[in-house]
Amino acid sequence: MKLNFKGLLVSVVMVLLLGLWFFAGSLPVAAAQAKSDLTLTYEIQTDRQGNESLVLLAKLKRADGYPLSEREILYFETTDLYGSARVSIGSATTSAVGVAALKYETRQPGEHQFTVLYGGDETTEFAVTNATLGLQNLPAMTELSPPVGMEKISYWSMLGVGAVVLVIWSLLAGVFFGTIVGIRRGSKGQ
Amino acid sequence: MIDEIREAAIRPIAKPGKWWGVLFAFLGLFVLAALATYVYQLKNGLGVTALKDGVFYGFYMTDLVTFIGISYGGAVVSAILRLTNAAWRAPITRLAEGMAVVSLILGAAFAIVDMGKLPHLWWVLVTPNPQSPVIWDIVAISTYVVATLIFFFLPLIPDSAILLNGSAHKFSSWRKKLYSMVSLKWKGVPAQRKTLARMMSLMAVLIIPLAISVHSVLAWVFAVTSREGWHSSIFGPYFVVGALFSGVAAVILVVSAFRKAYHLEKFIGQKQFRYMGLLMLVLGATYLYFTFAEFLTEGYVQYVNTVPFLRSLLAADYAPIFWPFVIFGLIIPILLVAIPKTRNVKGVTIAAALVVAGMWVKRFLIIVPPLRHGLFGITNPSYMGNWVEWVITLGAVAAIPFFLMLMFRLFPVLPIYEMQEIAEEQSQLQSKAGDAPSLKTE
Repeated sequence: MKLNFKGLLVSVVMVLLLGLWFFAGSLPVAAAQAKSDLTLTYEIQTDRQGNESLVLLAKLKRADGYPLSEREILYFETTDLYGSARVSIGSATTSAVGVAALKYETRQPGEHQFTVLYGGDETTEFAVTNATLGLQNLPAMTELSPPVGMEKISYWSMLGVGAVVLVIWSLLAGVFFGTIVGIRRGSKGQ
Repeated sequence: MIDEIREAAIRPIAKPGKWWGVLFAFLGLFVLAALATYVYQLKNGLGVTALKDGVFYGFYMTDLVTFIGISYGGAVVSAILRLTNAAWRAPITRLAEGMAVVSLILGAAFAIVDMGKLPHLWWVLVTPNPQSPVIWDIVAISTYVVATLIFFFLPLIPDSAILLNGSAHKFSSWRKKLYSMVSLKWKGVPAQRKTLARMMSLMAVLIIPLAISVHSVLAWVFAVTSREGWHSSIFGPYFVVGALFSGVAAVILVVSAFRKAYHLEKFIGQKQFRYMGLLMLVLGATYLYFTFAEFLTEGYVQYVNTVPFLRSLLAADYAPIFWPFVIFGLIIPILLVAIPKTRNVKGVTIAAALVVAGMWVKRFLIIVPPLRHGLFGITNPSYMGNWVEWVITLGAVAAIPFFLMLMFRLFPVLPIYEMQEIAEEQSQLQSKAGDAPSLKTE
């Protein structure tokens, strides 16, 4: 039987091309990332109970204006608390209209330097924005509620510890003076 | 035997040897330098040190934890061995208890040194905040100082009487007055012996929970803060085990030095070093386990605020100190004691020296890296102390042998009464065994 080399070669090339076409679909493809745009503003919001709060609003959209939802935004503030440093103040996720809202409490009105950061994903590039906001008309801060019951525990534990310390000091005094008296008495009574 | 004990115990008082004065003066120079530097710091405030707002605890806090930890070994080991009636303990108890007194007072002094100018101490005392662990610390340490002094004082009562009445050496009049005062007219009558034995047992029982409370409270000064690397539930027992570990090592070191200097080889032999070495080995293995457990749980979770501190300790700026501590301060000492060939006086002493130095480093690593990698993700400037802190620390290290040398110029280095008692008990047991019908069969 004579081998048809030409037919065999064509078959092999066809199989290789088919295989390449089949696997190529599963190969990672560098997707083109759209540029993203991040802006930061703030507003005083009032809830249904009438409580006011300051909210930092980060708006994330594509360069073509399309809002990006379900993206995590990280918030930082540049502070001079212990030397100049950028301190994380929290994170929030963008809504359907591409807005992330972080409730922020401060007692200090005036200029605050914030940085907001979006880490990017396979379709959109990361974005970072520095913004100096002049915070005015600050709402009153939420009163911190005391830890439940701790003040009573603290009071009784202090009394307990004090009593234990007194008992220990009495025992030590008892040992010291008891030894002196016991030994002196022993020397007289021999 | 009893005469030999007396002669050896009194020798450092009567004839301390030609090198005593040279060594005492040499150590005294370090102590004087430290005192002068402290006066300079008192005058100018803590600003002369390398401590800053970020790293606000440094060498002094490390010294405080280390010195109090060292005192622990002396007091607790002596107390436990007394309670378990381990006869081999007798020759080393005076050295252990003396070291406990000296290192505890030095450690407590570092609390004052760390406060800077003295009005700070005054305000802590006159306006105490019972919710602050610092005030618990002052209460715990002062109680422990008193307890350790009583524990040291009680066995001195019969020994002072022996010095006064049973020694051929002629003492000066001030020494006679001192021994007469301390001896409380001890005559060794049964009633006195009974009182002393009862009080010693009571003190031995009391000092163990007291010592545990001191180091637990010291640990809570760090652990009740919300700082990463300090806020740990195992810090109490971790500090207690660390203190015992370094304390036993320090006892070995002191016993080894005084044994050689005062020729006490006849009374303190291989047995004491072997047993103390094994005790150190068990404590070292426990400390290694605690260290592993602490970093495994912290490292596995990788809580965002813990990562910078852990990275700096294990793989970044503090790693060149941390890993040598693990190797030279934990693993090599454990191996030196575990291997029978090196479990001798020399091997155990080398292991103890490595442990004492290593545990100072470990305390530094507990205190400083969490401050450097502080709250809110802030990294503070690096800290390694400056000349003021180094001089005061070295002076305090020299002060331990300095004050012990002074202490044993006044009081016997061996507990004469206790050793006599044990020797008498043993000879009675031997004579009873001799009277009893032999159980041996040919």
